[in-house]
Amino acid sequence: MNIIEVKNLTKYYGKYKGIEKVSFDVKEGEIFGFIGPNGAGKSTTIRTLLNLIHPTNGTAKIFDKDTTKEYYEILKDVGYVPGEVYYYDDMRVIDLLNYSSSFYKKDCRKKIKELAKLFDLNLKQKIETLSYGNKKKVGIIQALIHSPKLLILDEPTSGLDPLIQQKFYDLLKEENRKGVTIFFSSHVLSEVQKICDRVAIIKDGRIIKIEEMSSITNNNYKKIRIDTNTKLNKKDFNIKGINNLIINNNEISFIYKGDINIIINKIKDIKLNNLSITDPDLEEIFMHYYSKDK
Amino acid sequence: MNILRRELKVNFKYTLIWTCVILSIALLTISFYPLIKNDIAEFQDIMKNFPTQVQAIFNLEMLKINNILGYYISFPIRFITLCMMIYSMILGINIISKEKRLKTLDFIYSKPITRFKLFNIKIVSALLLTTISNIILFFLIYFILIGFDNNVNMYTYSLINFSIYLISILYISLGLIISFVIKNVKNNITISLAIVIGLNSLAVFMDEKVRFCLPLRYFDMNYIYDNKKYELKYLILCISLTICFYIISNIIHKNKDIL
Repeated sequence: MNIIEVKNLTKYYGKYKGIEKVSFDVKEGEIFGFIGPNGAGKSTTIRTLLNLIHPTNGTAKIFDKDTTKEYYEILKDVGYVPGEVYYYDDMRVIDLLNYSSSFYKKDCRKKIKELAKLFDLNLKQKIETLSYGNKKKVGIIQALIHSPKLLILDEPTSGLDPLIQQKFYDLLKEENRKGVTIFFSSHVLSEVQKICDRVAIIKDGRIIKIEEMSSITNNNYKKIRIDTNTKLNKKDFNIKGINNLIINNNEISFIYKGDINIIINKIKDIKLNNLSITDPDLEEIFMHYYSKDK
Repeated sequence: MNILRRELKVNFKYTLIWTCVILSIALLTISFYPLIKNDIAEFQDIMKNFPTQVQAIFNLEMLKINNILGYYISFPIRFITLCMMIYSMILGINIISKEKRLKTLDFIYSKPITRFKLFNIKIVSALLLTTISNIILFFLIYFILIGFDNNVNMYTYSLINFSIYLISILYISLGLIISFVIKNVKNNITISLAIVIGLNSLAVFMDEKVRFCLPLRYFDMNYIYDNKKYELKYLILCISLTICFYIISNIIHKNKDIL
């Protein structure tokens, strides 16, 4: 059963394109990644799903209900963490969470306490005195307290430290084990890789690719940068899987897809000043990995 | 109920402050009554020397300051109505623009409540607050007036003050429209002041023919004082405009993108 069904969803802000003909399905119990650079249309898609904005064209269904007509019924079983978290500064954390739970007609007190303990959040603190990271924790807790069937997360980890991020991923996996479907939007490929089953990639308002996560992982790209005093030339790096090779004085950088041991063997004899192996940013992924799809 | 409780709690303090301010203005302006009453002939002579526009501001052509209610409709009511207009418009504008300023629209609109219900609960809260304010002012100003002169006709006084209430509601509905028309309402007091004072200035200087578009003149205090009733067509106009603004704002709100 599909929890989310989006068909040809289009949103124009006047003459500016937000998203165009976006189509995808999210299955029940799935963790679905939605990835793209800033301004690609991730938030526009999410806001349309939540009926915050109205589509110019196309349809979106959640729980088989139309998001523009039956949003009130849909939102009863949806938890939403916005990309930017803003709450009422005059409230304490507990007041905000109680206010949030009052919309669901459920006793959420136990869950509030559990989640506040997990994220080490002081419930009596005033919202205005919270750091951005702590406000984000409030955002995550308010999305979970009513035990939703679907979680819609718009860049949920921005502002969280790595330790809390890990706790958050564990919590998502736990919720997913209980049957919660998760729609996870991010511009960080590595975090989507960590937890998602499937991923849709959006760029310039259009879905470029929808793939199983395992397929993306097998095509794992790395960005490698070598700083050395040893003189090297391009021929030394004539290896299958290397793309975008740039040699600039003592610095060599390239994108690599393939067995990482081959590269390690190649550079083990070079005297290094510095070496970095990182995930390429999305633009680079789009340029190299998806060029064949265009 | 949760939204209503929250709205009332947040705005009650401001309502009390505004009510106290309006009450102070009423007390201050009414307290001039004994001084003016003693020198009424001299005062009227002085006022007659002012240009006709100034006389119009104070409604001098029908000046009835020989009794407290006549004085009340000539001077204090001008300031009370002006303040109520500004406050009511702020209440109307705040219904949506306050959440927009606080950037809490995402939070409230992603909760399981219909847009219609959310919007109208907030409107009810604004109506309740302005009702509370008007009731407090109704009784306390009445006590102030009878403190100066026992001869206050309760029926006429009620008609006069109920007209302020009707104007308050009209300005709440006008505020709703303004909050959608003007993008990025950052300073609602400035906008309210500009619109209210602008409309009121026009009301003084514009011709009788365009009275229908000047809310300040929908309720002619001298007419109410003399005839103990409202001018029916302007009463209907006031109520119709209020309903019209309310319906339009609901339609805009239903279709509005929350950005």
